[in-house]
Amino acid sequence: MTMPSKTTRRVVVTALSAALCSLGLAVSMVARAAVGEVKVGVILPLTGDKATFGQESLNGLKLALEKAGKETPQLKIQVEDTQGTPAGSAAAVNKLIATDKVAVIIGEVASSNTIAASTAAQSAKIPLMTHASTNDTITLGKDFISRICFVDSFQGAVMAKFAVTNLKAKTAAILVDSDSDYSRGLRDSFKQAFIAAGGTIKEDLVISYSQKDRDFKTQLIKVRKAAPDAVFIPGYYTQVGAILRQAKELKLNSKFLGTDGWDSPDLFKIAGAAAAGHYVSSHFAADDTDNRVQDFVREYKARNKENPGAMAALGYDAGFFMRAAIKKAGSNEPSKIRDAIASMKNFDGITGTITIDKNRNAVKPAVIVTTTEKEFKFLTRVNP
Amino acid sequence: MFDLIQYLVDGLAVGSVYALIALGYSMVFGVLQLVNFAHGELFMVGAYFVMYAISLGLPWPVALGLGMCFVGLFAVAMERLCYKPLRGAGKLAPLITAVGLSLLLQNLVQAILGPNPQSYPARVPEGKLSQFFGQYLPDPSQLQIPHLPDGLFDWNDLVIRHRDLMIFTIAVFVTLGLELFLRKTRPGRGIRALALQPNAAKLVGVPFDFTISMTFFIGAALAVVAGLLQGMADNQVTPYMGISSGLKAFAAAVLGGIGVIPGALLGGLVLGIAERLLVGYDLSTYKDGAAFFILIIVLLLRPQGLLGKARMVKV
Repeated sequence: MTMPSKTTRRVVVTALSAALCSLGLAVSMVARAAVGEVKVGVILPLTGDKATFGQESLNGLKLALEKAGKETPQLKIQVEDTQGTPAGSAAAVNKLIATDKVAVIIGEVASSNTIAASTAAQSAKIPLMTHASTNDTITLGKDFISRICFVDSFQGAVMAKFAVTNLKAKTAAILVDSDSDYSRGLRDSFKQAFIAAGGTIKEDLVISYSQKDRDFKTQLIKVRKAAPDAVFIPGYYTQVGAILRQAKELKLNSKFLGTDGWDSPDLFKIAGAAAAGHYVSSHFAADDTDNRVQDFVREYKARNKENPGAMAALGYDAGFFMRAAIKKAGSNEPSKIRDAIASMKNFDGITGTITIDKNRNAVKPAVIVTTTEKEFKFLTRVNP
Repeated sequence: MFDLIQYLVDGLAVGSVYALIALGYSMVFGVLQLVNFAHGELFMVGAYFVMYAISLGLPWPVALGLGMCFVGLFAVAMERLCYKPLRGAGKLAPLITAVGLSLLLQNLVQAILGPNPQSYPARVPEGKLSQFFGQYLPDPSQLQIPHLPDGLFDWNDLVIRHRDLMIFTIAVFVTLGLELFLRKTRPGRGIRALALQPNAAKLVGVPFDFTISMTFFIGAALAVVAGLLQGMADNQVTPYMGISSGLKAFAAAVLGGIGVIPGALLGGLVLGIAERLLVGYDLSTYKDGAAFFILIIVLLLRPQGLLGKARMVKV
């Protein structure tokens, strides 16, 4: 066999590249015309000690997709369970990117898990949009990571101001979940804002616990001795439920303040009567009188037989927000979707009007709810 | 100083639950030289069983009695089916079987009853099981769920919960009772004889299989007591609760001297106190590692454990 001449080779190469170019053009033209179907990966804690967060998020997301009906772009979701752990979250993202070839990912809920997931998504340049992780550092320096919930520097300040202004608290203690980035971030933002507003937090009243703990008596005794006006617990409902129960047993009479990690129906199951009388910052309240919220609550209840919590509302918003962003991108190319998410303004969600800022965080209001023995009650809305 | 006393007292309560589980590890090791790693799962299955029995509306003593019998018989069946055929197959085979059984039970419970924590009153997870079984569960709002005493002793700043005292007292009495049973009764002496010298025990007429079954039964029944206490104290039961408590109980049994009954109690209490001290001085992250750190130190200094007697091994 003889080698083809130089000219022949040149002709072949030119022809090939021309063909490739036109093919690429054709593909991009089709994409720009209308995005039919986009593969969306979803990572959620469907099992484990944050399971109600995952279940509610998924219910909300599915309701959103159902309501969108046959309208394009169609979001084809591929759901992965992270078991509520950072390792599970990273593994889920890797699987979604490598095996399922998703264009974009929604999730996780807990900040530590989203941080683990975001590293993998960022290096693969697949946009990851979390609907519920509030820790400030998540989007920092990772341009493919974004969120549609507020950040903890806002949430912590909201609760600190509420404690000082509305509850007239002068002293506070903080119980920190030392296994959680979320909790540590909130500790710092609450502390800073509380002291700035004129309150005091003694160093030995910032007490840590672990997610593996079941007995919190030792921590609570310290709080009881100091008897601060308010006790801030930025944590997750499984541990918080047990803490509230044991605090009541120990006749600890301070007011408890919490954050969106409390927002689960299981809080009331675990804490029982001890759940009543606390104040919690969150994204949404089911008894908010806003018409759109009430429509959502009715539809969600008809489908899932229970009232939606904040995670359900965020999951619902994530569905519609992602559809709007992909529509805006006019493409199922990951980098275009990323750009579209980053430029979304004044999106009207049921958790508030969402504008994505330059750090790809959402600027939006928080709600403060109070607790009874059985549920959360809407108190007020705080704008950023 | 007052803080220190507080942590010591708190540690006694935490350690008592470990001790109740550790007794089972210790007894089984005593007679078979087998570390039954599935023992922590018996504790977990017991906690679930009693929780569901109470959620069915049974009074708690009945629920506890049924749970002890059911899990006890389950342990006996486990021994007959999984460990007995491996007697004479060396020590490694039964040990690996135990690890396998432990994983099997964790995942089985997770598959049937769901992976999420359950609180009183327990519900049946959605699915086929729910349609079949769910109709028998009474309405939770109609149910009077029993709970551990919730009073407090409160001297100056020293606070002791009644339920902690209750758990501690139960652990001490159970250990004493077990020790008496082993020393004074005929079946108990059979267990000790087997532990001391199996062949000689068989020669003098100790029924070998029966005695071993009894050992498993008693160990499992005590684990159910621990399961009830912990499930009620925390109002939470999960398929994984046997892992950490089981491992710590195992560490407690080895620490106190495995095969020695009061050693299990002592080991449990030492670990419980160590844990509370770490939490008290704001080092709760290291709490789970502490159990094994102490274990390593003690085993370096006293390989037979705190109360164990050094035994010559004939070669």
